[in-house]
Amino acid sequence: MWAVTMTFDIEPLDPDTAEQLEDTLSDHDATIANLPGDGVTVTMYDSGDPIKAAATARDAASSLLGTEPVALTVEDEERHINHASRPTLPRMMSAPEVAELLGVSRQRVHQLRATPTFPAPLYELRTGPIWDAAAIEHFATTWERKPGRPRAS
Amino acid sequence: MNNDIKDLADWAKSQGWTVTDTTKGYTRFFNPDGDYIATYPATPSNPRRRMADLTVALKRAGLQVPPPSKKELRSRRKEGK
Repeated sequence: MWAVTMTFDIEPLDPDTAEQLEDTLSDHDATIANLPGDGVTVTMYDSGDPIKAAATARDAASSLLGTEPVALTVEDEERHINHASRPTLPRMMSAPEVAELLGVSRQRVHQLRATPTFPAPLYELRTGPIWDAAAIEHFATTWERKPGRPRAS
Repeated sequence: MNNDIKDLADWAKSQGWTVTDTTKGYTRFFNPDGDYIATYPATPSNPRRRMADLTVALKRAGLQVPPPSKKELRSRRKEGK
């Protein structure tokens, strides 16, 4: 089964109209959504050949909305549903969590920020910096620790 | 409101969205500016698809979705999800 998502460059639909159109396209499990400032999206499902699925969905949606889509994607249904559940934000870490992961003190985390390979924070809040956890975890695997005091030059 | 979307609706409301139920049992989502975005039917023919499409629509309209917390991951592992 294929998930066909189309974008139409039209004014936003009111809820009653969108729901009526969804009912009309219910054989295709259609979902119609507004993208404020960017048109309207229609997602429909069809079986068989992906090109034919795209053409069927485009014809059905275009005839109802009175215009052709400006974008169209076809995706395997399972892939589409898996992508849908992905978060939009990364896992984040504050300085105490970074310290715990690296096994150092919080003060040392702030010293490490001067290290060229240490990740830049995503945000600098008044309470302190926030990092992408994946970037810190990568740093932890590549960081060459030099224990002890630096030698006096 | 259909129970499938309770968590998503609660999250959206916590982020300043408005979620309303119609007399037909449809759940409508409006962004913090009051713009209508999408609807979830009372009894969708394929809840899995509709849930996925609603989530995509809300994310495209600006709803941020964080990754699951450690507590949520633990509970999912227990449920075998």
